[in-house]
Amino acid sequence: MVRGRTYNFSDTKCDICWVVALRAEAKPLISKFDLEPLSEKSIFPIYENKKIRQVLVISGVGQLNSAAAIAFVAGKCNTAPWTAWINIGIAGSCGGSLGDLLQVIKVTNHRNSKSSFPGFRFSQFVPLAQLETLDAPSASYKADRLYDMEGAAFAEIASRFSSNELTFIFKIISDTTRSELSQIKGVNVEKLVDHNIDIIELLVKDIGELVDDEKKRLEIPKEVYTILNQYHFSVTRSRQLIQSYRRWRAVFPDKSFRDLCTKARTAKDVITILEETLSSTSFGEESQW
Amino acid sequence: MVDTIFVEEEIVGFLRTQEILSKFPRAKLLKIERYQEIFNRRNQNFRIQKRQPALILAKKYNNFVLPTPDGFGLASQKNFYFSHMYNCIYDCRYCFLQGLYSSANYVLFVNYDDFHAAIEEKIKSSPEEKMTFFSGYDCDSLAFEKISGFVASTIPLFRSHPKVELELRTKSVQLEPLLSCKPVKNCIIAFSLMPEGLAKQLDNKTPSVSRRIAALGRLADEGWPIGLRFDPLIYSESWKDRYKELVRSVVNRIPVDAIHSVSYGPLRYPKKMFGDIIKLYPDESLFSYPMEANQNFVSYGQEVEKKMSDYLINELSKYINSEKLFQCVIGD
Repeated sequence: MVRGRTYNFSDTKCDICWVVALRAEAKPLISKFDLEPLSEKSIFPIYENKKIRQVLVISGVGQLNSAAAIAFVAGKCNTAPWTAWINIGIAGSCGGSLGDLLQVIKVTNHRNSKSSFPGFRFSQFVPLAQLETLDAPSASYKADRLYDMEGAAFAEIASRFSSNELTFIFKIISDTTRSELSQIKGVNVEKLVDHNIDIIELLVKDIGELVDDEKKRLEIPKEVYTILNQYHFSVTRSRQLIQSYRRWRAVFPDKSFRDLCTKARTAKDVITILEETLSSTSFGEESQW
Repeated sequence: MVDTIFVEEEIVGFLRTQEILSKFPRAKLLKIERYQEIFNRRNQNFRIQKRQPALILAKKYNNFVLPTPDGFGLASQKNFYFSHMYNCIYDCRYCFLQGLYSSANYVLFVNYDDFHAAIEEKIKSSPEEKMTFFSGYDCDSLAFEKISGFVASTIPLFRSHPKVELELRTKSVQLEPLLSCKPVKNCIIAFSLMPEGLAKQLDNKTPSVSRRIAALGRLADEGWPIGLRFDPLIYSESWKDRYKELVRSVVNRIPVDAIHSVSYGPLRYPKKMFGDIIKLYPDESLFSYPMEANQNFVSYGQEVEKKMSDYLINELSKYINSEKLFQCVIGD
């Protein structure tokens, strides 16, 4: 037994993390979601809204920048396994219309032909598309795909901090011909994102539901930390407690954990009480359902 | 409804691929090189994918027919299984597929002819031995039939090999491919069953048990041999009453002569698989009650397993010849 160990509730700041390449792409999001500068002068500017638990990082253009910004913001903001990562930005396309918003469900790195398949799909809101990530701007487009300069690295790296299904890429068509490519200006980019802000808000709402479900599944509740700090739990026993607690909570979703533990004098007692409570009931009792 | 279909480039032109694609005119279609690019990759989240699985059309190259795992199968000398599909449209909370794969997308192998050739080859290799082939190990045999047409294309093969048995394991009441042809005496339609109250809690998205029993009755009336699969047995409040009632409901509807075989098996998982499943569904009370872990498996323990098996055998033996009863236990 290790006396005096303190278990800290890990309160992550971030349920949704935006990764955008350009400040012009970020501006409408910062405005819509009331994001405030957290570290504007750092190598990757970060904005946040603690209330809605959103963070935005401006990565700069290119795969390397995108990957580095993800790692930077993950460390800085203590992102969680249930954090949804969203890359939104402009993309080139041979088809489609300027300003169209699409969800990318296949992204291929032009450099090595490796593909990722990010995100839970929201085909009821936006068309689905495939994306090719280039290392340099190009206007030579194939008909069936979008083109950007960050997506492949974003999908590969962000999914490691969370899961593939909580890693999202949304693209807005910004140029469809060589002449339009040369006309991309900050103010135009801002307008393109702003034009789609209502649908982006809808997407964020649904992504939030997925995040909540994952959070419920993965997060260790505060009441467990309260008990962990009330008794002297070794690391092994703390793991046992978390496992037993989860099983107990699945059967008794409305009971008070604190009340259950009132008779426990030691950490071992807490686990014994949980296990005995579970042993005395069986699956399918009417009272549970 | 499937909103996205990934197709291996090599099979885009296959007639069967085109037939399947034509059933999803609104789906987004994307080409891939091999299904492993997207299926069962690292960092995938089965639970989220299960909300809206994509369909992956692929070609299988080897291992078309495999020996069944120990404890799976009936009285044949040789038991084999084949999987033309990975994953299932149902979402049964105890299903081992959720621990087997990290991906909930459906993979459908469209080169049925290669499966059929491999089955023929196995049959020819041991013509004198009693042999059974099982479908429905990695998927439900009938649930996706309206899309796949696999059963309809496979039954004629077994019609021409009357000494070799085929078992189609299912919870589906989509009977059209069976009712539209003459019954095949060596093709057993085996339904997974559990007490209705438990099925309501655990067999998500499946037809109710009463509908399954009605479907079994219809098939029996038509002359199809019936398999009853009480697998897994769920230890629960009033389990004796529940299973007694289930057995009674079944024998009330299905003539005993139509029953080819009955098998039953306990709830058991390989240790790692069990760990993966409870990580996915920590809020599922089925896994909350004390279970025992030995070196390899997690189960209710021998005492509970025996108690349940003995009780079920006793109930079944009141109506069904004991020669038709088989226990299926993995890891024994």
